[in-house]
Amino acid sequence: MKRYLSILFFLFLWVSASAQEGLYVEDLFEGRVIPAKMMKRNYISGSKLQPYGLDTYKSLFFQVGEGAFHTVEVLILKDSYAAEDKQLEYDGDHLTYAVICLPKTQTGLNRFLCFQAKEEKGIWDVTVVYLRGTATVGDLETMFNKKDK
Amino acid sequence: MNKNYYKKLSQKYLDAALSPREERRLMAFLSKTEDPEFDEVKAVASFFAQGKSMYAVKQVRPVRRWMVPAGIAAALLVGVSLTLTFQRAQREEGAIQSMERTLASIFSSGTDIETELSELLTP
Repeated sequence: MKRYLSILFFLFLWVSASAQEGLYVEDLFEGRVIPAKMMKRNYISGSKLQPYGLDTYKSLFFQVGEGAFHTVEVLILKDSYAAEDKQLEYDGDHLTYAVICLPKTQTGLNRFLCFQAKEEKGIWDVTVVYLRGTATVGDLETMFNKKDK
Repeated sequence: MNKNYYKKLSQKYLDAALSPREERRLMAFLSKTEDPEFDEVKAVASFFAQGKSMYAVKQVRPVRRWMVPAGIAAALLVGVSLTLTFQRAQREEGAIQSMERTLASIFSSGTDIETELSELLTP
């Protein structure tokens, strides 16, 4: 019995470590908000991300109408409440851009939630990204900001 | 030594009617005897011995029936696994490139606070 309990405990630890650790957007990544077949998903983990100082990269891209967009927007905003640092941009009432520095993991890794949305003729193009690793937001900006300064 | 016996064996040898055991026995005898009556058979025996050593055809192991389909299957297996490895590497490369594009789009899009403040504060 003890053995089974310890296996269950480690299974629970593994599941909680592999998921987005209690975030509202977890539902989105699990396909519970928008059906998975309607999303373009890119999940990468492991040594391929080492050059970027990351160990997990998860991105979603989808196109939705106003109602579904609002649901996604609310999830992002709920996760931003617990954020240490964040940059949120709105167009009118709608959230169109967010880079959210989430609280660190128990193992001390940085976590980020990024959001980008653009509306055209009532259809929203939405990108949601979850990042985890040793890289800081400054490192990510240095690596990926291609804008001429 | 029974000369008549070996004479009989010699005759049988020339008629190619010896058993392998008899042939071995005769060859052992011929290697030792100096009797001129056996010169003819000695010459024939040495001729064949030399011919055998010069033109002996090496026995090639026959290709077994199962070897051909097994070879084709092995080649197919190697081909398929190489193709899958290549496709996987390409998919991974594509995923990384897509990640770089997405992150570049995100981290280049946010409003630059420095620029915004300098625009606001510059008279």
